[in-house]
Amino acid sequence: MEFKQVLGRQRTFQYFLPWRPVERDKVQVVLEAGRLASRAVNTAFSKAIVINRDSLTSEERDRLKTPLSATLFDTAPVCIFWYFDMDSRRVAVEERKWPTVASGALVAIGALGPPHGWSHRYVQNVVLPEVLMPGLDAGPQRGGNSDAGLAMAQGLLAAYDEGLAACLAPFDEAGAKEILHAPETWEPVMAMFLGYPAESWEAAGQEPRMPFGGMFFEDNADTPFARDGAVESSLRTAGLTQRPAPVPWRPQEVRAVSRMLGLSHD
Amino acid sequence: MELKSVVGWRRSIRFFDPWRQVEREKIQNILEAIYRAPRVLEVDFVRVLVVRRDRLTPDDMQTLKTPTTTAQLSLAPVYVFFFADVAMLESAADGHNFSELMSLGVLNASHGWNDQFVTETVSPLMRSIVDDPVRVPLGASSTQTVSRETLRLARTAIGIAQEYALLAAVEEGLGAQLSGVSVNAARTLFGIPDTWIPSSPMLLGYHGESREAGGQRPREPFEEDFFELRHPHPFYREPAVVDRLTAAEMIQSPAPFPWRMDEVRGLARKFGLPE
Amino acid sequence: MDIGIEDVRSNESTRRWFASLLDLWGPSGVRPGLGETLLNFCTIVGKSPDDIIDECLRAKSGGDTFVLRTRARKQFMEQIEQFEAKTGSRDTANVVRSFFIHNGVAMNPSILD
Repeated sequence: MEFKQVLGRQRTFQYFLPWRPVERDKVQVVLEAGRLASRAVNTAFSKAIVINRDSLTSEERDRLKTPLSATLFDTAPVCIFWYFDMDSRRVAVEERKWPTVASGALVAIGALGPPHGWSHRYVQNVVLPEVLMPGLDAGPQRGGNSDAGLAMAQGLLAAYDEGLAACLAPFDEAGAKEILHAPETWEPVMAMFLGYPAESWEAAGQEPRMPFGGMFFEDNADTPFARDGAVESSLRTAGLTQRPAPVPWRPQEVRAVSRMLGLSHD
Repeated sequence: MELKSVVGWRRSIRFFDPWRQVEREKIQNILEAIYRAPRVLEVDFVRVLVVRRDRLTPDDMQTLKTPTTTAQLSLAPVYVFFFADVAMLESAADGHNFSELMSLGVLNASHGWNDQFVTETVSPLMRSIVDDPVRVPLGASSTQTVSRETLRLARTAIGIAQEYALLAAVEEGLGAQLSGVSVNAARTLFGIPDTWIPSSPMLLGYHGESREAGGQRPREPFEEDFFELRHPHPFYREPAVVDRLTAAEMIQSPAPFPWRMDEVRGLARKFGLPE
Repeated sequence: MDIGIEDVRSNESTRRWFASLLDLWGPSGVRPGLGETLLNFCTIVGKSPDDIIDECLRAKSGGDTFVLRTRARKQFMEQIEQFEAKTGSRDTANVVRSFFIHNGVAMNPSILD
């Protein structure tokens, strides 16, 4: 799909066809996309575990649920649990078996080099001890990682591109540790629910956002970025901006789809 | 461009043509892409600041630089800074964003959503994240703290925004890289509020190097990152899928290309940089 | 400081520089005149190549890792800029910068217009 149309497809899909399996190769595409995402010091901060709903008992699904994701666990055919691997920096620095900044790979392939002030000696004798190693003694540190979010987001876009609906929601960390055997050194990012949509691709419509000028600035944090209406128009034509929520037929759709899926709609 | 091709062509670009301005329309297209990104817990965390290099003084530039990002900062005509305003979780803790989505038919009774659920479950849940006793300082020199859980969510939000920005830049025919700057200097220079936590800015411009930039960056084996059923059972990587993604340009020829070092040497001479 | 070309070439930091150039660029990386340019700079600042690098990188215990001394690095960067102005040549000054970089002292000049 065209890039802008993929972005425009983004919404909080809630209704999946539980009986329609997601092809395994599509799940792999989501993971492959996540793997190719940008990452600091070329280190693999992002990890994921894939579960088909039907491989879990209802008790196991209950253990994974949070109040914000309960029904999704029961209806979405696939769930990808995305994590931040808190130990990845240590592995990169101490084991150096994969191509990262710590292993010298980026200098070796010409991504970083003398024109930017880098050399193998700089990596080994300065970057490693002064930038990458400090703090490792403290052990895995919780508190999130933007690269892990970034990888998940690239996977999300790939899911839409594969013709799947997707929704991000929290999952129960302790339950996931117990049921999925997630390592102690992994911190949750989000669960990504995947499936074919039971609702239309428009769902409720494109969801609202805070005013553009409250989010985007130029020159300094007090000056909103002046938004050109002509650019907005072109993005509507390109499919990035779509019909806003609520679409007029939404209540009927919700009732019908809820009946179809055996969900209460009162 | 097709999404898979955009993903495949994205890589960290470190050489830009500094004399070539980025059209404002392209910058807005990138911001509009970020605008459509999903929100974490429906909180409006993300803040983005666009700065043009030529509007900074030499002294400003000097304070932003680190020892190894000097050249990139001098080459890129545009910097896009990403922040998460952690105060937004507190403002959203009454659940009003969820209530809005309920009113629009996004979240429905079929999934347990109603006013009572927001008031009695969702809002307390969000409040508990804000008030979590495990806390970290807001910044190196700040006396304010934020819950570590809030930080986790905020960083996820920043990562999502950065991802949308990077891909949008590629689709606009631009080079981009998440880079390092002195975040304290940026905070002072641009008047960043204390509750905005920073992350790596995106350097943006027209390619000064080939868009191949030596090839797609290497990765650890697929099976090191992805699992199914239970960890550590690896997710089997089907070669036919890899072939499909290669045909779609998502997976591309890996670095290093045989001519890369010649290109780097040429670039050093192009920009007057050392070899 | 009385230092000759053979002294410069025999300094460990010079040998390390040449080895790194060879490794990265191949034989064409170690072109004629590099040692002489470095000698020229060393004579102006009154220090041997090894002394220059030792001033910029302080070895931690064990000797395998180093702390970058930013003040010394900044001072040398300014001296290189003066050297560039004096010789009228960015290429010549970049030879000296290359010596620093391949010895693990990161630096960049301004971008040439």
